[in-house]
Amino acid sequence: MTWAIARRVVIALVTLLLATIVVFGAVHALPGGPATALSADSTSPTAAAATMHAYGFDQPLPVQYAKWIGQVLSGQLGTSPLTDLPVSAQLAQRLPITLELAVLSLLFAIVIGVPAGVATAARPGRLTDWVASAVALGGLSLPHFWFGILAILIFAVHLHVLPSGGFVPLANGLGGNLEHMVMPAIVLGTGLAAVIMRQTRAAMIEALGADYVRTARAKGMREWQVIWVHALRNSLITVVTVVGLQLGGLIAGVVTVEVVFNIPGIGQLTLDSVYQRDYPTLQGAVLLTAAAYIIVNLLTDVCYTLINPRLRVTVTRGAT
Amino acid sequence: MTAGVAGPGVPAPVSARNAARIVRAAKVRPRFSALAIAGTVGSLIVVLIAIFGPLAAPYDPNATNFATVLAPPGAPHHLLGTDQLGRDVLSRMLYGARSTLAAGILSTVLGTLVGLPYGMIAGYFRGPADMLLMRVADVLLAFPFLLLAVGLATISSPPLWTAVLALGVAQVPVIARIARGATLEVRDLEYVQAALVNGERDLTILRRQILPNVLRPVTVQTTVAIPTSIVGAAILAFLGLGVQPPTADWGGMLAQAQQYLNQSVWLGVFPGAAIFITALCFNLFGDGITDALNPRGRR
Repeated sequence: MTWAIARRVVIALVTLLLATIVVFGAVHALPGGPATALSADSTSPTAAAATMHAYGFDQPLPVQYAKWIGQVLSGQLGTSPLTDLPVSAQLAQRLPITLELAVLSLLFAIVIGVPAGVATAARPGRLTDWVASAVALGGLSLPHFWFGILAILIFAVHLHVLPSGGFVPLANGLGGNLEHMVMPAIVLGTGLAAVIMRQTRAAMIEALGADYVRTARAKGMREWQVIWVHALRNSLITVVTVVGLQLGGLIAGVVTVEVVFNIPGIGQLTLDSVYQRDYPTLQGAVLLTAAAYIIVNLLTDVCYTLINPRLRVTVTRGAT
Repeated sequence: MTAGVAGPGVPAPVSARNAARIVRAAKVRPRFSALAIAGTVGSLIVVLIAIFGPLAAPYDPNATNFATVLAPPGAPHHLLGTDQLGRDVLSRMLYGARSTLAAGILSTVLGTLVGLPYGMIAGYFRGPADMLLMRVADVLLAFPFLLLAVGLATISSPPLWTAVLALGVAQVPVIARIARGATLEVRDLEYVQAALVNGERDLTILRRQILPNVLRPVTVQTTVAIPTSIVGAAILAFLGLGVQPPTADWGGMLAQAQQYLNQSVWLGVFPGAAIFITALCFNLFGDGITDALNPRGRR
């Protein structure tokens, strides 16, 4: 099992390395890439050349890449030519905000999605199942930016119960922080809750038809034990995979929700750096996002192995 | 589906209670099928609106009229009202269907056209080719479509193609993974080996022996991906990375409406509702296809 996990880690590292090449290549291949963007602001050709030289843009690409990787490994992501702030400092400032949003919405999605999936799977075909499935499909189709706008209209503009956007750091009090985060987290988590509910339901229905469930029932086990202990444990494998795969979608959602609710997170930073052609920041933000995604995928794989003993064996045999 | 039927333990004669359960379980499918039909019809209507809607549009979607700015729905000559520039909302909605739907559907087609052969080749040849292809797919998967779009927005034009390209490329690794899995499942079966012994060329085997088995799961994924792509296209336009104003697009209309919500709520309601209903119809349609083609994944 250790070998299986080690193999996963190596693959993740290779993917991460490829990702750095893609990020670097993409940003530098852009016509109007960093060089043009910088020199456009300069008044004279000599000044432009000096700026280019100061940021190292006049060197060959492989050299620039090697330098950049060296910096990345030591935690330095360069300096934003616009704000003259280190990119890593900007990312460090905004990452906790985005993480809080992501974790809260994930929590919301799990708390709603898993019990709803289990409850509907336990009694398929009932009215509750039908209603919950329909609601889930609705949640799946609801574009979060629209949902966010509607939520602001209802809860902030008309009812005045929640702020319409912005962010209060945790340091300034938990109440104010959560007040600002609750609406974005629910808006972002709704689609995910729908996905989790549907997947839990499908996996549970399959598990409840399995022989071991029949055996458990035949042994006289309580129905709640059969459902919540036996069947759910096996269904969780599917759910964990789906949650892992969905996190990529969550990242896209984070950007839109941050824009709608005006939350100064990584998503806003990425978009702003596109609009302002701030390439070092863009590079850093995109790399951070990609790295986060790769790490989440790795953790998903490891969770798999830990939840399902059977997978440990198959994976060790070297199966892909 | 068997869950409702599987009684507790010992095979007993079907009791009244069990019979009721069986009937209930059997009823699940028709009810969902009715929804699937509704979704299919709805999707068709939306597609027809996208194709022929502009013909029915009462006004030029970009014609401004400052005499009737922010007219409410039901105003004379403007069924859905007008926006901040006095443009007819109904006309813009009808034209907007085209760009939103086109981006959603074309990108899925693009993703399938690339991802299907990609995954089949990886699964069929295995070895280093597979390893390389799938690692590249992993890297692509590590970039949410939004980041791809962000990168592409600066290089490609026109913007509609940026959206199509970004959303399409994002689907390639997903479809490739599914195609690869399905290929791996059948490539060692006897009939494929027999074709190999027969001296069939790889390309022929891929087309005639493997493809029919891969098409089913890929079709399921494709139908499921369409609503996601439609919403994705709307997100891109909303963020200003896809279709650009003044071209009518549901996502773009929503972005502009944000500033006028205090005065005219409906400006934010119509485009959002249109995206929502379209995605819902395509989701129902996709569920129906999944049920029909994938007996194991029945919901």
